Amino acid sequence: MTKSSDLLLGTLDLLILKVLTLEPMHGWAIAQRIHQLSDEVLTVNQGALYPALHRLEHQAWIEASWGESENNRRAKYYRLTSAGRQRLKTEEKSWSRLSVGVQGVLKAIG
Amino acid sequence: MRTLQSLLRRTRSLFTREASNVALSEELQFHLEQATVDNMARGMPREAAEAAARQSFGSVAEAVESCYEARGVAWLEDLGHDFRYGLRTFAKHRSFATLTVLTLALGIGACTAFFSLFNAVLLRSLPYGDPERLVYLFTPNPQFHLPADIIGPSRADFLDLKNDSRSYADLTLFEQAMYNLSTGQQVQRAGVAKVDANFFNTPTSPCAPRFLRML
Repeated sequence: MTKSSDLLLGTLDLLILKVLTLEPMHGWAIAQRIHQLSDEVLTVNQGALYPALHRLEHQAWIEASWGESENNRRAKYYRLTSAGRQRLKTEEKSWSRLSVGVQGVLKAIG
Repeated sequence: MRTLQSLLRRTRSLFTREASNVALSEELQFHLEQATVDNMARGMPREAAEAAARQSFGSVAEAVESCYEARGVAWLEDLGHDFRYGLRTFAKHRSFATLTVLTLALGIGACTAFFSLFNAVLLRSLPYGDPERLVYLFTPNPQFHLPADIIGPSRADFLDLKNDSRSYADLTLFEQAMYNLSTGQQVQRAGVAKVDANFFNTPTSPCAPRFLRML
């Protein structure tokens, strides 16, 4: 696994946890929400989304249950757990530290 | 708590791998259908919409495999495979397997036996209150050709020792004997100890605490 995909993986976890604070959602909705909220800059690759969801579920940061979708189909809904909320706080902190650091370097060398 | 939950979940998905995978493909199927619906809303005909959805999704098999790995039980299943492979190999080479098991059993057995001895003789102290202060007195009598320490002092000798010696805080006498013990309908041969009145009061006596409880 390369460094850059490590970073992407961590970022995806952060984004998933963050959008799930809005409401429980299924995978498709999570991808759509991230796409919309990022002004269509970020497109979540499905091949990465579902492994990430399952990983987060097994870390007990999110919980899954089956429910009815908007168009009456069975869909798997993910919900943030309280451990997940804690995790989100730490991830947000480390992300802002990282982005401040990167911005600092970019600005310092005009 | 979280570790425990996570562990439970992993264990569960180990036993329900098939169910997990079925649920997963249903989940991925739902995603594909949503993408198709989305594409059709943008004006694509159904077939093109499905094809586009599938194309943008990439390999379903790969996603399933990645999810399986993300569930974090892959190593446990691999361990299971290795274990079964080991058993099959053993079944094929019976004599080798028997020899291996015997060697291990003997080795472990020998170690255990040696340790039990070592523990009893050297490590474990006597189960008395104050073992350093406890001594055993005996009166060797070469006429009997018996081990010297199995013959205790005679009662007269004991009373002399008790009255005249100043080296001991206290002295107590005991003698081993065999008696018939009757429980009404049954009679049993029982090993007993005849002791003097002081036996249960001697500070380091092994029987003191238990005897007091019985009273």
